[in-house]
Amino acid sequence: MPGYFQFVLTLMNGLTYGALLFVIASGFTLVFGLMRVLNLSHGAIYLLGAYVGYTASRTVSQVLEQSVPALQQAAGGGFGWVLGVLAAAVAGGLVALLLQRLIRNVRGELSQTLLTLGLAITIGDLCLWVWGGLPLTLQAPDAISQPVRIAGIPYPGYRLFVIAFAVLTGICLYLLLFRSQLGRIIRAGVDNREMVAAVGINIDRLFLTVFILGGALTGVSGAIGGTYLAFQPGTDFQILTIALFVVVIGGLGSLLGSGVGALVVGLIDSFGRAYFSELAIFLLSGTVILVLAFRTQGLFGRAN
Amino acid sequence: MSDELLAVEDLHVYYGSAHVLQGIGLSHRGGVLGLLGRNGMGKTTLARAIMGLVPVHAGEVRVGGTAITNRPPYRVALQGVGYVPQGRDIFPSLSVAEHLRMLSGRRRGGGGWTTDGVYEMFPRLKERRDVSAGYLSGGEQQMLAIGRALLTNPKLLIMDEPSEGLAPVIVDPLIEKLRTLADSGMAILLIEQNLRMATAVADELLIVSAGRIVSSVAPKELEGDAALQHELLGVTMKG
Repeated sequence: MPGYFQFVLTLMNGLTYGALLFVIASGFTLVFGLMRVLNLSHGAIYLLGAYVGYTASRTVSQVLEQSVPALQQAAGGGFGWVLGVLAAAVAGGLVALLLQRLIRNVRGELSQTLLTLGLAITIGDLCLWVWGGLPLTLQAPDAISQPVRIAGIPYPGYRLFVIAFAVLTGICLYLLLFRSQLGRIIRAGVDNREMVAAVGINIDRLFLTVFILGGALTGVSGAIGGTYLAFQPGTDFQILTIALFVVVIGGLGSLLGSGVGALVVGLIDSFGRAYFSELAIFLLSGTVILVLAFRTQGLFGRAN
Repeated sequence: MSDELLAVEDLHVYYGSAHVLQGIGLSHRGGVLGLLGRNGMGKTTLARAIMGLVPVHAGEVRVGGTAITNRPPYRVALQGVGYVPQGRDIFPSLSVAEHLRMLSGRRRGGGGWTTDGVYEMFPRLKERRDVSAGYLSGGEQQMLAIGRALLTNPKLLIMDEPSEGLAPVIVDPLIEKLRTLADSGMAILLIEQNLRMATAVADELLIVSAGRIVSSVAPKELEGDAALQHELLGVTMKG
């Protein structure tokens, strides 16, 4: 029985982590596909989203507690949390806006990539300065924190919410990319930026839109991830590394790839930790190495 | 001067230290202007410089009297220049229909090209509308590249080697289409290496060599004169 219990729990944890990684990686892969720039500040935007979400949700909750306690109790902390997530989206979007303005003035993909690394270090240090070095988490709203029984095992409701959120994000991104005018232009831009410009589309504005979209999504994933995974200085580069793992496995620039890559990484991480704890990191990097050795472009990436 | 569609004056473009365009100049006032020349003489660079895809070091490009030198490509396109690039550069991730839908509803002014108009011109594209453009044949890709450029409602169409890599049986209908297009009043700047296409479609031919226009000939004149062909281009028309 404990064996069964552990298996289901490990599976669910893997799926939850994979779901979060999908949201993180989809912004990353979208920006790379279009700009051909690896945004190394991606993890920093996640961390900043988590911190901003933390402060915003606490502040709003405290203010509500003092001014309209009934409302705060009725919403079970939900108001503060939702506003925290929104604030994280704004923070992520603003950093992306700043990054795009900076990157526009730099020529060459290597220089641009280095610029994103510089921004990552700057954001990380600013966060340390403002929020200190202790691990933090956001307070999940009561409404979505109740345990739910999965295959007879109680599982935290918030984690199921993370899965639902990732599925919803995936559907929205799919519709955006494959059913909307903006999506057609984005996909065309991934294929050939010059030609998109040559048919009269302002490519800089397109880049800005996608950058802000990716940044906001990453900020949101910071607040949502930071509600069940503690974050602290260093989380930024952990998240960046794991996002890189996901897109290397799934294939850079592919939405489906980041979904599959995220599930693979989430499950390997979860099962590795639970059953082969000494080998957990090795299993993950081993998978990445295998994929790179036999399928350089990733499972769903396009060969160039 | 007001009817001047495209003017290029003393244009200089460098790739690194290579001086590719060395003061090229031309004036396009309608009809089909052909640019002929051997490989590496700067024809494609000229097209890209007009489109704003490569930086211009000196000189000026005007479209309809407006200077567009070194403007971003989308500005040039909005100014009314349609571009059918060498190699066609269709978007492999998009279906045929998506290529056309991507541009529908964006046009300003009532230029008039619609998706249906493109399908009417190239019925084959309609048959292949749901096919991913990466799976189209070379000829179909060329139709799509032309249709895509037309949907930007250009006053001038720049076509860079539309016959490149196409079998003769496909080039002939393409020549017909381009003539029909030209007869309907579309101004075209046609860059070609294929003499047959160039002489069949163009009203006037400019010969490009070493980044300059070296001479201008009437297509009829060049068509029948193997010695002149050899002198200007180092090639002769076969058959």
